[in-house]
Amino acid sequence: MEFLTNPSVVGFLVFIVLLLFNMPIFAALGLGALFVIVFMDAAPLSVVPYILGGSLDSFPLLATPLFIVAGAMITRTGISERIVNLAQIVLGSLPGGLALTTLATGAIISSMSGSNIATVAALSFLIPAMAKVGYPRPFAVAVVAAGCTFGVVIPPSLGMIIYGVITEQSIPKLFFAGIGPGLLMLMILGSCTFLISVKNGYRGVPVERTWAKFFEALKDAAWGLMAPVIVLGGIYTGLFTATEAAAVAVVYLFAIDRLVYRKIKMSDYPDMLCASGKTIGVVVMIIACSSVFAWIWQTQGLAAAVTQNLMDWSGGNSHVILLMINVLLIISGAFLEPVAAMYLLVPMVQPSLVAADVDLIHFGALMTVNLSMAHLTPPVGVGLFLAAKVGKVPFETAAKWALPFIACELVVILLVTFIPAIALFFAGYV
Amino acid sequence: DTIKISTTVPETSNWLVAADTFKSIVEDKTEHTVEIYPNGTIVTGNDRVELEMAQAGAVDIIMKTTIWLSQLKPEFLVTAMPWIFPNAEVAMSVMDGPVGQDLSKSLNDVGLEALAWGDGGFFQLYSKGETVTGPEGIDGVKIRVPGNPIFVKSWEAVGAVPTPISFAEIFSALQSGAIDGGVATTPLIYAKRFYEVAPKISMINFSFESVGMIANTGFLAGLSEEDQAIVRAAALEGMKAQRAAAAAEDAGYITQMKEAGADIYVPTEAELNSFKDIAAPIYDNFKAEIGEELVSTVEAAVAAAN
Amino acid sequence: MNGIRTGIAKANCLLDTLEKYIITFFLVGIVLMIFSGVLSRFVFHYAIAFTEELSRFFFIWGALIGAAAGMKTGEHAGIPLIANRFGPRGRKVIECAVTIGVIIFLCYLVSMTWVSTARSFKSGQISTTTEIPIWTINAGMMIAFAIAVLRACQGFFLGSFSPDLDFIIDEEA
Ligand code: NA
Ligand code: NA
Repeated sequence: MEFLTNPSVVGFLVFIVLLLFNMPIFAALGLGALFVIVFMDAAPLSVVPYILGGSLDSFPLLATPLFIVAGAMITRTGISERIVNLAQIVLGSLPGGLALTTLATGAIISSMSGSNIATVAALSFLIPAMAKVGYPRPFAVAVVAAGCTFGVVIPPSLGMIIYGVITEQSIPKLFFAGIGPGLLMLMILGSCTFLISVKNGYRGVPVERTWAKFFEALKDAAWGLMAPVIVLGGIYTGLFTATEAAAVAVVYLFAIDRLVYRKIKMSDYPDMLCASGKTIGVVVMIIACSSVFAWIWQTQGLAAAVTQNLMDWSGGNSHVILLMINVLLIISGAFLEPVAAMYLLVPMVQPSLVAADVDLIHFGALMTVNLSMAHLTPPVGVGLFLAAKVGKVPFETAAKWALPFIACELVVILLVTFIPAIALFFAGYV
Repeated sequence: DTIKISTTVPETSNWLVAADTFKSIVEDKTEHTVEIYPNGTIVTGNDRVELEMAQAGAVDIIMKTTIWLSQLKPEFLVTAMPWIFPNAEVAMSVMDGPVGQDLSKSLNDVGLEALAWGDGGFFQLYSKGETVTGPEGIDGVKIRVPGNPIFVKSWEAVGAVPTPISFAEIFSALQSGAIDGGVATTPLIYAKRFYEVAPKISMINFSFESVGMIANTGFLAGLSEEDQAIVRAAALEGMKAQRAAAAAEDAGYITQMKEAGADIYVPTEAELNSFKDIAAPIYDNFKAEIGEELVSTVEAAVAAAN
Repeated sequence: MNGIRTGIAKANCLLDTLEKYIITFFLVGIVLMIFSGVLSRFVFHYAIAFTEELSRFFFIWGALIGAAAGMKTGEHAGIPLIANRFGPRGRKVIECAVTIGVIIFLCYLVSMTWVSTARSFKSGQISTTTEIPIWTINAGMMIAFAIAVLRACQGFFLGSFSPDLDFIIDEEA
């Protein structure tokens, strides 16, 4: 009973109720916090503006707006079409060839974009294309949504940056910890798509599979493919930080568009940047308001209580703790926006992870895969929702077709949980 | 009630010795409980915000160095003046006296009061080349100093080339040869492994930082007179324990760096004086900002304590 | 009456344009500052120190102005699952309640940042590297939240907080 009158818990319940009644996430968080500050004296009123401002005043977090701008530019420069052409020559003629091409393109786009939403925007033109070769529309939508979940797993990654900011872990290490899980996702999602396609008789597309064609397409996509080389290479060699890499990516995309692609007019930039600014605004308000919540949890001793319980239930076994946290993440990911979930959950579970001797880089990769899957899971899956909107398919139908892909990602989550090397192998190189 | 103490340094810092001592005394003698939050967890890990939150009373007590406090009142720069204190004992005796009390009072109009002062350490010199024993050894050498004008001007006066590199980049800049050395407190030289690339360390006691236990005045006013006295005494006790811990820790780091192959040099009094003499013109530059009287008072107090 | 309408429409249009160019200015500023930091490391072998701090302040200002702009266009989405099960009247009630809640929270932020601006103005605190007065950071936040209140009111009439909206998330993102 005492637990239920703890301001942290009361505030959380207020937040959930407001959220379910269509209150914007930031306001639901903010009002939930305000409620317990005013009525339960959980904090001085003056705390809020400082936590809001302070949570945003961070150099690593600056990578967020930059990668969002880079994502907008990737969509506009038409880089994804060029990468699709390339991937199609390799995979197109297999059963379900266009779906496989979509997944591969998603993985490649993810190596230059930092978020799932940016990736789904860059991939969504493939939905009508897949429908045209005879795949069911909901299947095409689910494939695109699955393809977008590489976004935060394969570096660069907004999720990893935010996790790194909260836990003060090395962002380059976290980035590289995403490579293994990302490749594993590609293999498992790819195999699943292949099997579904064979079973349902989805054909490939007729492509001329020659080296000449391949090199021609490679040459055509080369400028775009250089972006991840510069970004990840720069971080890998220590030439620049993740934030600087994001700025370099923006400048590079600007330069190749000016010099080669010529798709974005100079006069388009203010509108494009304003649209990006609004997206950034949504993310920062969620970050700022979740931080106020986290402040209350911290000072009301909720993290300590959670740690105590997790340790008691698990007997301190790190695998059991990770499994329990995974379940918690899946449930939160079903409803919550991933950024908010990260800000709310990480401070709560971090002490248990430290107590159970879990590597925080390993957990960062695991959490990112888990919360990336949240873009697929109903009732609130932002990636699937956007794909369904573009594909003009009801969300519920799309969610049914996404179930096999959700199952695939659950397998990835289990593998990454029990085999830390999947995440830590590449992280060891930076 | 609960008293919230925030600091942006990690649990392992010797500053926490002060906080822990304070906690045990206050909880023992009063009805209050003390909660200690290291790593800046309740101030978003941000020093600027922490200082603002203390002024607003959003946290009750913070621990901040004189350099940070100089962003509110420039007179706090007096402890940072080059070679103004010969060693930590003298520096602490000055901060315990009228100078420390006056500095504390100067914070009252922004809602703060320093309960007690501790030892934040001296900036020492680490470099790659020959061991630096006097100003002539540093002539034309590129060294990294914190961006504060006092530091920059002092090293220009000594003849070095101060290079403004962000703290995170020091290690790689030393490796690449972009800088030849820098100044930092002993715990930082040890923790950031600067001694591995710049193993010549001269204990020149260049500039001192004092760390204050800073309370919000509204919080203090809300305590009974009896509790206020206990809180102030506990802060003094805490800072005494911190000074001892800092001295022991520095000695330990020096031993460990020596064992790791670093070359630690302790200059003679004459060598230190030659540094101080060559930096003397700096005092005229900063007297207007810091206050001529304050600088003279500190110099007199140092002379008396020596 | 018509005169007032045109006046409001013009003011709205002006604010739209102003927001657009403020956001552009801050985002371009961040990119240029951080990129010049990288360049300077190639040339001088170290990054310029002041760009790091200033770009952080640009981020706070630009992002919060972006958040304000998004209030008008329904960017700040909620979960309409339960609201959608109500009839049109019920949905309207929820929409009004949500808007009022958002505006209450934003007004609270305006008043609190007003206090923090006044306090930092009085104390004269400055930032470490660029020595920018801290009150300008707090004032920037206050202005952004004030615009957000205005935009949320407008957004209400444009249906930004309507449950029927589903998720409007910018396609650019
Ligand atoms: Na990515
Ligand atoms: Na979900």
